[in-house]
Parts: sequence; C-alpha cells; structure tokens
Amino acid sequence: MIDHFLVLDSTSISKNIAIHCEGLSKVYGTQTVVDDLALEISYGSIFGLLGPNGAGKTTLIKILTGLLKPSKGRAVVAGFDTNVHSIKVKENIGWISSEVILDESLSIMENIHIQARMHNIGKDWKDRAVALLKYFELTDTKVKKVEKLSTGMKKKLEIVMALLHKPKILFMDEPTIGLDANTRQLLWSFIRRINSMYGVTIFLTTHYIEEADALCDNIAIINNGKVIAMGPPQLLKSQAHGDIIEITFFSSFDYKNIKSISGLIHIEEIGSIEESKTFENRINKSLKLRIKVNNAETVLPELISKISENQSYNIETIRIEKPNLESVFLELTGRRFEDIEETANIKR
Amino acid sequence: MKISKRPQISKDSLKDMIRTINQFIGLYIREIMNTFRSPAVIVLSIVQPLLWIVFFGSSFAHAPIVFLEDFFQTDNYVAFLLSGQLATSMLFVGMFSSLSLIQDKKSGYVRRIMVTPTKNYVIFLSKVFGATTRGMLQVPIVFIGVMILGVQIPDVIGLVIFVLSLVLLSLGLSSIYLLLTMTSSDWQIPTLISNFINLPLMFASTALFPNDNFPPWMQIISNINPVSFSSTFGREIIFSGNISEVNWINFYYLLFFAGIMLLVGIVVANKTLKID
Repeated sequence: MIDHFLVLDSTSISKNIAIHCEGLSKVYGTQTVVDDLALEISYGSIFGLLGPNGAGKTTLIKILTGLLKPSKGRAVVAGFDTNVHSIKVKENIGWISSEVILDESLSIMENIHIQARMHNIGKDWKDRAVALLKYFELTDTKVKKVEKLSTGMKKKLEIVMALLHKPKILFMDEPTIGLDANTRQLLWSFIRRINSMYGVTIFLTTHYIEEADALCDNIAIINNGKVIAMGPPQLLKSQAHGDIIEITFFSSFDYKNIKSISGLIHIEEIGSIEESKTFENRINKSLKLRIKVNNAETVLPELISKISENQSYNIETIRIEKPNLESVFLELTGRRFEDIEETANIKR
Repeated sequence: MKISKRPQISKDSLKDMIRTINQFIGLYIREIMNTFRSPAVIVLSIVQPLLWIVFFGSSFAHAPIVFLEDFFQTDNYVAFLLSGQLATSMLFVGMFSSLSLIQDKKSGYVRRIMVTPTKNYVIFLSKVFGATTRGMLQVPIVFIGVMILGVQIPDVIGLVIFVLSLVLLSLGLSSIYLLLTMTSSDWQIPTLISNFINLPLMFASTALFPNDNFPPWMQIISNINPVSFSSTFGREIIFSGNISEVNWINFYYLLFFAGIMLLVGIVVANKTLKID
C-alpha cells in the first residue's frame, strides 16, 4: 500500500488529522461560496458543519469528496490532496446524501452489490453486507424492489452501502433533512454507533441546531462561506454571554427601573402588541422584553421584585433561555438562523 | 551487452485495471437489470421495430416484381428493409441511452457513483454498452418476424457478422447521444436532438430506399452516414445469405466510427461529466 503521507508536500499534517483545509475558496462568477476556509478535524470525531441554507456547506462537502475543485487553497482528506489524488480520497470515504439516492427498481442486495463493485470489494462483499444489514436491523432483504421500503429503511440501506468498503471518513450531507422526528432520532443513534463501533470519523452538515448540539464533538458554524466559530458545542455556548429572560407583560410597562439591577447585560424591547381587553372594554398595549443577564437564576428574584414595585400582576409569561448554538449564531452574525433561511428561501 | 527488459505492468496499474473492469461490470449489470425490470421497455423495443417491418414493409407488397428487382435488387421489400430498419432502431437506442443518463443525473445516482473511486468514462461506457445490449434484444424477434414474411435468414457466420455491424453502429450512435447530453440534466434535450438528428439520418441514408435518386446534397450525407453503411452491409449479407459477397469497407467504416466515437466519449466524459 502506498504510504499516503508521502503524497503530501513538506507542510506536515499530523497523522491524527482526518481532514485538513487551508485557504479553501470556491468562486462562481462573482459569488464566493466558500471563502478562505481553514479546518482541521481529528480522526474518530463527529464533526458538524452548521449553517443556514446557502451558507456553503454542500459546496464544501463537494470539494472534500473530490467532486469539485476549489478555486483557491487545498483540502487534504484521509491524507490525500483532493485536487491531486481524488480517487485515493474516494477510496477512503463514504457518503450519505440529504435525499435517498438508491436504484429503487433493484433489490437491497442488488444495490449493495453494485456499491461493492464500485469499491472493488472482492467475494467477501456479501458477508460484510449481511453483517452490516444485521447490525442496522435491516434483515428483510427479500424485498424485490427498494421502492417498497420505508424512508427509514432506505436510510439504513444507504448507511450499509456507505460503510461496506470500511471508509475512514463518512460524509453526511444534511442526513436527517425531511425525516420525521422518530426516524431522525433513529438516525442519530446510528450516527453515534457508526462512530463508536466502527471508529469512523464523521463529517456532517446540518442546519438543525439541535442536531449539531446533540451529535457533534466539534462544530464549525459557517455563514456566507466563512467559518465564524469553531469548537466543541459546550465551549461555543459558553462564549455566548449570558442567559435570556423573556418576559411578556399584559400591558405597556415602563422598564426604566429594572435597568439598574445587578448582572444585567442588555434589554431588548421585542415589540408591543395591540390587545383588546374586553373585560374592561378598552384597548391596551402589551410588551415583550428580552433581557440578557449573566445568570438567570440569580437575577430573576430581584427582577420580579423591581417589576412588582411598578405594577404588580402585570407579568403574563416568563421564559428563561440558556445559551445555545442559536444564540452563538445570533451573537456572531446579528441575525437569527431562521431569518437567514427565510431570506435564502425567498431568493430561491 | 544490453539486456532488453520486457515492459512490465506495475502492480498498481493492474489493480487499477481490475477495479475499472469491476466497476464497469457493476454499472453494466445495473443497466441490464433495469431493462429487464421494466416490461414496458422490453415490449416497446421489440414491438416498435416489428411494427415498422410489418407496416412499412407491406407498403410495396403489391408493387410489380420487375419494379422491385430493378429498384431494390430483390423481389421482397421486407428483405431490403430489414437491415435498414434495424440500423434505424439503433438511432432510438442511442436516444434512450442519453435519457437514462439524464435520469441518473436528476435522481442523484451519478453523484452516488462519482463519490466512489469510479472514473467518469466508466459511467459513459456502461451507458453505451447497456444501450447497445438493449438494442440487440430486438434482433432475434425481428428475424423471427421477417422469416414469417418470407425472408431468407443468412448462415450463422453471416448472422454473427450482421449483428456485430449493428453493435458497432449502436456503440457509435449511443456515444454521440451521450456526448451531446453529458452536461445537461434536461430530459427534453435528447428529444430535441432526436428531431434534429434521427429523422435526417434515417431519411438521408440507404435504410429505407437506395440513394440513387437522392438529390446530390442528400447523397453526400447518405454517403458518410453510418446508418447507410450498416444498412448496406447488412443487406449484402441478407441478400447473399452469407459473407462471401460483402464489401468489408462498410464494416471497417463502422468499426472506425464506433472506435472514434467511443474514444471521444471517453475523453469528453472525463472532462465534462459533472453533477448538478
């Protein structure tokens, strides 16, 4: 076997690194889809690329899987430069797409057989397939056509096909998009099992914040082709300063006196809502405040007491929001995840 | 003293070759399985040429024998039409191959293949050979049909060479179609190309009639049209019942045509076959 580290130039990349990108850019005409991106992912980890639709996730995955040449920079996957040794890269990776891509007119074993041929797996492909099918509880292999399987079963089959040639790295491009909650949970458990049982490094792209948070050891948040934050989810969340206390008031409220409370970072007036108070037959304005504080539990008693000084019984709801990846994204970009997604959908 | 060394194939290139063959077999098997899983495709590809033979072939059923022998060099127009019709069918086989590539691109299957260590030209070759095999399915059925209509079937060698010439034509035509649709994902493209290519190539050839009475410009097209070479070559075998009187130039032309088109297709596939 070729020592795959020989193909790299003198800029040494540690043997523990599964994916290494430096100065990676992809430009289409005047649009920069991936912008001077740098990444380093260790073997054995689950890495999540989190970003809204149109952030450049799929383009990056195409470059890393050797399907697309970057305009600038380089990517080294499993020890091979994607630009120079794309075939070697493809020998060492598996891929699962956002949609189900199978030959639906063929049976389970026929689909696997073709995949085995693509990876030049010898006669033992069948034994490997049977073992994987059993592991992922896809035992009803007598089904004549894959089109008769449920989406969950088809996803399982795709996992079996992706693992058949024992890849070092598995790329999953938005693997749970369009799946119902149960199937998504099932797939999450499979992703964890693939990583822990088979030691496969997983690179997944997602625009579901909770998915990245639940699955990944490390996350890179990507926006407009640039990585804007990277690290373990806990670390990223700790960098998003403070908790949010969201209070909805029955009627308009002068919140000047709560500005003096200790531990307060920022108050944001979300808006006033016209509301008909039929009981008293008059129109009032209710108000919603997002109050950012160092620690919600510490601040809350003082906050409620200050509000009560002014107007008692005015509070309609109180909601406490602990830092999550959404707040990290908001803090870094000044925009909410779903706002960007909505804009991207409108553009489309 | 100089010792000449025999050139040796390196282990890696041998491994690479075996892998490429394996990949080709895998994708070719898929093409064939897809054909046999679709009864509509089988029925249509068999019925269509048979209908042509029966309906078009019968159009000269009551023509005077003197006219037939003078114009078609046979007293049975079906015998004249047989090789031309099968050659024309290969045009539609080519169209089908490009439709199948477009379908695979749209469904994402091409991407599934391209993230494996499969070279693009293997995808192209599997489509070309798959389409050709599909095209050959109709040959035995058509032969049985024309036997009923009184056509003499040539000897085994004649039959094999006849089929081989059709294979060459199909390889060349399917390559052209795939070349033209390799970069597209629009299913309308093959149909449009079909209107621009298939009909002119069918009529500007010796598939249906001899080209003696064609206008000069149409004769030029007919004289370089591979459909003409295949029709004429096959006709010579049908008329004589063996390969003793055939003009091999026609066969070599088809061999050259298939070879060049496959080669161009391989180069273009490696450069242009991309996912959306």
